[in-house]
Amino acid sequence: MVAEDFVGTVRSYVESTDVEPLRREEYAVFERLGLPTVRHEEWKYTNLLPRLTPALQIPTSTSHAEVDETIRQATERFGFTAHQIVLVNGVLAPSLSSLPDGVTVVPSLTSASPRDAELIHAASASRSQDHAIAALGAALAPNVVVVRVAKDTALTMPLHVVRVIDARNGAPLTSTRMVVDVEEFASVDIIDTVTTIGESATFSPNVLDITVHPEAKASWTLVVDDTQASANISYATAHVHRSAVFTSNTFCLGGGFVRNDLVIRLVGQQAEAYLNGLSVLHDAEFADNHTVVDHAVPHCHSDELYKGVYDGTSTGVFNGKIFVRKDAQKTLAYQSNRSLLLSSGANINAKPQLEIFADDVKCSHGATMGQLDDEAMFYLRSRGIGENDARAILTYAFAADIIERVSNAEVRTYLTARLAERLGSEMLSA
Amino acid sequence: MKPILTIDNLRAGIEGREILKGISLTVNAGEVHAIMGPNGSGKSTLASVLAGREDYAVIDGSVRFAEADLLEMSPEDRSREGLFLAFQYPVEIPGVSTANFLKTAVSEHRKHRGLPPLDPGSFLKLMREKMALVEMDPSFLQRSLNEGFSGGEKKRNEVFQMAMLEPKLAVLDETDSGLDIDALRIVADGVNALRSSENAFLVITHYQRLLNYIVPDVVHVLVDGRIVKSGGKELALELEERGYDWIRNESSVGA
Repeated sequence: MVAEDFVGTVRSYVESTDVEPLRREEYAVFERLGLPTVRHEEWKYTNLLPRLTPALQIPTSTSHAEVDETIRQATERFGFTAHQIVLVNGVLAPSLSSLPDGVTVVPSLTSASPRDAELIHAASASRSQDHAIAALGAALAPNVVVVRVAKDTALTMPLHVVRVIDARNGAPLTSTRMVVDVEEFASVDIIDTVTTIGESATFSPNVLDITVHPEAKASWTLVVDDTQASANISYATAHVHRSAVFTSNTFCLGGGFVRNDLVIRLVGQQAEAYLNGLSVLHDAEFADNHTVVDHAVPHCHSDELYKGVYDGTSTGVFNGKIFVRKDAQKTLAYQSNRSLLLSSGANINAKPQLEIFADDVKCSHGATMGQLDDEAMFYLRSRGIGENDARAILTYAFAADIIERVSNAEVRTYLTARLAERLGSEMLSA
Repeated sequence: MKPILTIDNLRAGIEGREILKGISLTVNAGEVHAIMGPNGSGKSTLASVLAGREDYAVIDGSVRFAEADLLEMSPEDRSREGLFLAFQYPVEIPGVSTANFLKTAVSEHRKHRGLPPLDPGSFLKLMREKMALVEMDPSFLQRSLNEGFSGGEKKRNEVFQMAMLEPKLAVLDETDSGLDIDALRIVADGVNALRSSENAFLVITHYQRLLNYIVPDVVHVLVDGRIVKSGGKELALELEERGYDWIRNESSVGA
């Protein structure tokens, strides 16, 4: 019933006059696949239904977002030196945004330049058609952020996509869609944050399609640090071409419900992908990371490290797939998932999955889960460090090496401070 | 004489097994006591109980540290009140630098005494000074605590930490084990430099050789959870020469 009402809400929205054919096509994919349930293998531990409250509403489309003081403050907490794109409930807030050359926020395909429209269509076509929530996200997004980094160029600053979800009046069902195209020898560094203001429920399925052309470099750092009533879903696909490098950093430092799908296809020789992830959860928070690294051609390299710290009654899910296709000889593919359980009520479901069809490859995977080391705790306490601080220090040490993998120093500083705050130790932030 | 540590009829054990079967001893300010004994006699258990390791249960007896009931205190409060345990096996802690660890520990000690944290400059100066005492290279400060340190480096790091925290009572749990003669001398010199009329040391060891460098005022022999003999530094030499069997026989005859 809940599911039917939800689908009904989306259907009547996409059937309204101002929604374009492409978004209706995306909706059709969503409707055909249906909402995933826990009977679906990829959603076994991740139940969407409790998040589909009848209160959810799709905000009325506007040409640009109105900004008030609270929204402004929500965007100012980061303070990164970056080109900033602020989207409120998926709609651009021009007064808070500064778009560099090559970056456009497209309200509709008809108003988009032919090249942007082509990129958006191509992205929709290249995404695998088996993910209902990705199609839902693309159907719902009122704007599309198109990032095109021209050949041989690099943005002077990182691009910070500041997603603000306004849940002060009602429970928004909204999404952001991004299409990123990094041309040959170009590079881009994208920071993607989500902040909800207000305490109502939210449901936000976001979609990112990124293409890293030969010899180009792209990094994407997603930071979910959100309210208990929020539900953030991200579906990101990266196609990485010859000698290109893609790095993803996925942080979950809070949020009632988080599901991230990251699909990386290494389609050109000597492509490289680095996947770093850190979830630090407490209370009843939930975070699910599903990753796929697909080695389609020879001589590519992927390296994945996801860590999780679970306190309270929080739950983590990690599902990491690596495919090495028959022709993908000389592949190097590594995956590691490490979990720290800080309370007896916390849970982790980890499933590494390697499918290797080539015979001359180096691949490894491993999953560990454990608790804080008693000996280390005692050692710190025996030097006068209190029990809570000792726990925080050891937990911090476990988690911090993921933060160190982020290349941007300001982002590292921000994440470090948030981590320290979350671990509840003043000492760490000093 | 001012007693720093007074142990009275201490009985303690682990997992329902009694290991210390009634230990009494008093360590006064300015003194070095050695506790010697064969393997399994309870030496490390005594160190663990004094430092507050939670897997050990105290069955009976009391331990007074300065003016307070030691056994009532958490491990961190024991440290803040001036007890220091140099670990037999210092723990490797990846991701926590030696410098940050000590900054935290020293700040906690100062807070306990109502003092503000040291400013970064003075703290760095203090660390360099104390590292010189045990001939440690300052590059260790930025390395993860004990991670990848050799046995000797770990033990020197223990003495360095001791120097930073300036305890009233330091318990050295087989600090000499696994050290070559040079490292042994460095560690002993470090300890000797810290000796004063205000503090005391309890040196736990299996062998006499450390006591050539850290000369004890009193030597206790621990056998099967009891102190069976106490004496001056010459007792250590006698043990070195004759082993532990004669004393074991002597004590069972006495009992």
